[in-house]
Amino acid sequence: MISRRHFLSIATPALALSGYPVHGFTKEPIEGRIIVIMLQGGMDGLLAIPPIGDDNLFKQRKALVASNPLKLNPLFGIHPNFRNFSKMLKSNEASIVHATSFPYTGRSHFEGQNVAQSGSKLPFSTNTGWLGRAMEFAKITGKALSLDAPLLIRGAPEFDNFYPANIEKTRSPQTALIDLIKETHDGDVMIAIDKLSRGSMSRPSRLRARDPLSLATKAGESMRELNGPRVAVLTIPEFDDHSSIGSTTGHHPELFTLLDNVFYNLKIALKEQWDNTIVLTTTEFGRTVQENGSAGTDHGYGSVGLLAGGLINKSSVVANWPGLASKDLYEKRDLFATIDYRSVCSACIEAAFGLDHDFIIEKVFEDKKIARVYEHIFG
Amino acid sequence: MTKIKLKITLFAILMVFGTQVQAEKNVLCIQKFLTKTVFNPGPSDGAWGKKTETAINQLMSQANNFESQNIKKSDAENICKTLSGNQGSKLHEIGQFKRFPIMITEDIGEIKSLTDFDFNNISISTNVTYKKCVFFIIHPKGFNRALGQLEINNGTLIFKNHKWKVGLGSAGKENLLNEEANLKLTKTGLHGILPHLSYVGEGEVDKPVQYLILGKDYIKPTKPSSLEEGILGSNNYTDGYGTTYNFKIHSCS
Repeated sequence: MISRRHFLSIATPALALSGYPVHGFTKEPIEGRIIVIMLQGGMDGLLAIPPIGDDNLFKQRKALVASNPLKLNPLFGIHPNFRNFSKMLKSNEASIVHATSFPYTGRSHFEGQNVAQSGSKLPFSTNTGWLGRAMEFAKITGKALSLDAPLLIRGAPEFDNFYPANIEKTRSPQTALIDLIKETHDGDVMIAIDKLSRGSMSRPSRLRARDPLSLATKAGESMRELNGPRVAVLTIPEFDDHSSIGSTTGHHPELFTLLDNVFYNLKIALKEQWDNTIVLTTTEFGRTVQENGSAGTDHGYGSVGLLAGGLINKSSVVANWPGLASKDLYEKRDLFATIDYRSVCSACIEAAFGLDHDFIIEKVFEDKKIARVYEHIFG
Repeated sequence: MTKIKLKITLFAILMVFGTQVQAEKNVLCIQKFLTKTVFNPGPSDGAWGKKTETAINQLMSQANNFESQNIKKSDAENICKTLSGNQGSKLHEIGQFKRFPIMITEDIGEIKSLTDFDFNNISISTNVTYKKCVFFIIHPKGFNRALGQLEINNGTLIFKNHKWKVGLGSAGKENLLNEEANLKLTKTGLHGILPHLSYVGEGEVDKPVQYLILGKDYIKPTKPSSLEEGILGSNNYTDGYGTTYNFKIHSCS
């Protein structure tokens, strides 16, 4: 087994020798890994990371606070089901960004997920995803897909892998999606898609369940290889809890446990490559501050982002906390997002791919106003 | 003589005043810098107050990964130089968002996965042997978290082929979450391996065979127990997240 240090010592010169100049790199290209966990349905950030030091939390949502959150600092706690993640926080391998969102306030899953994956301000304004574009600019050709080539990574020049590697027998075959990819890509991408389709269908015996825990481990195992994929996308659905969302226990807390174990499995499976990795969650929007009449919460705005990986140097909660008094809420109902989550995505790209911030926001996100939070997360 | 005294006094007053003006200028420089960050120094009046002191200490602490700072009014000149120099733009960037340190004091304890079980409380003995038994680990909602075959050899459980279910296990999802895995033992008992680390195909036996030593005070039943009773005297086990499962061995022969 080649150690990370040894790998770096031999890989870096090799990269330098291959040496075509790539515009936009702020430093030498680095072999970082990015894993995105898409939390579909809108995660309730206030239940996950409750601002226990804000008195208005308990005035606004008495029933929707876990009875025993772990105290992170005087302002923030964390739901007790995030035990692995809490341990990572304690060992400076994880961080949290709170009161954050992609720039979308329309409260539609369909549009929100599109914005979260495309990185554009307007839904359905582009056919590629922010991560795929970043990979293209960073000249990264190998990657792991979650199972359906989500929009998030469309735009990258080459597909290496599908997880699980069986399109034919997936639970809900995304043939429509493959058709869409065919419509929006040509050339090498199409060749890669065809190759993958044929290859995956020739291995039906390798069909595995598509649960996030298994995918996390399989992705991590592949990504720790010397020439393994450098990007993976996992999906955890069903965060859209309009009723019976839970507090200490319940459906959202069960999902927290699942997410917590996905983080853990990734770390275990990546082994020494964990040091070169950043894992980040995305969600299309947060949920309303107050509970509705069905003990759930509705579509909101600001939420929380969870990050973990060896690229983090010092754990913290990054937040310009807007407050939870009614006057401080977005449209008097939602947590205000004071950090554009694309800043977080940019910082992760900068840390893992070595692209320059100004280059990322201009070329990947096409928005020069996106602030740099690299120092806050990786500094 | 009087003229000389007057000159000295005047000079001294000018010196003090000049120093004070310079000091106020440095404080103002810091305050103006801070007003462009999220660290509120209070009014930009050139006066070193508690708000200014707190704000600049918070900024510099954040910039130094939460190392505590003790910046006083006497440091204003150096700080102003820093803010106006090469590091100014970086500090300005850092000052746009607040970082709150992680100060976890609580012991998080040993992390257990969804499939970890603590078998410390098993109350069984070593003098029992069966060639073939069926076992189940049953979720409180009624579905089988794991099932398979095992052998009991003088109180040692030898796990044969078995299947494990992963994922949330919530109602309606189990059919999507079937996965095969293996069981492992640690010093604290029997554990489900993180399901995806080791796959065991149906009908296959993972290597090596896993063992569980039964407790000394196990009382051998007179006949194989029914599914309802189970073969183990105490058979409820709690995973790392507080879910209590039922471990049953039956149909031994």
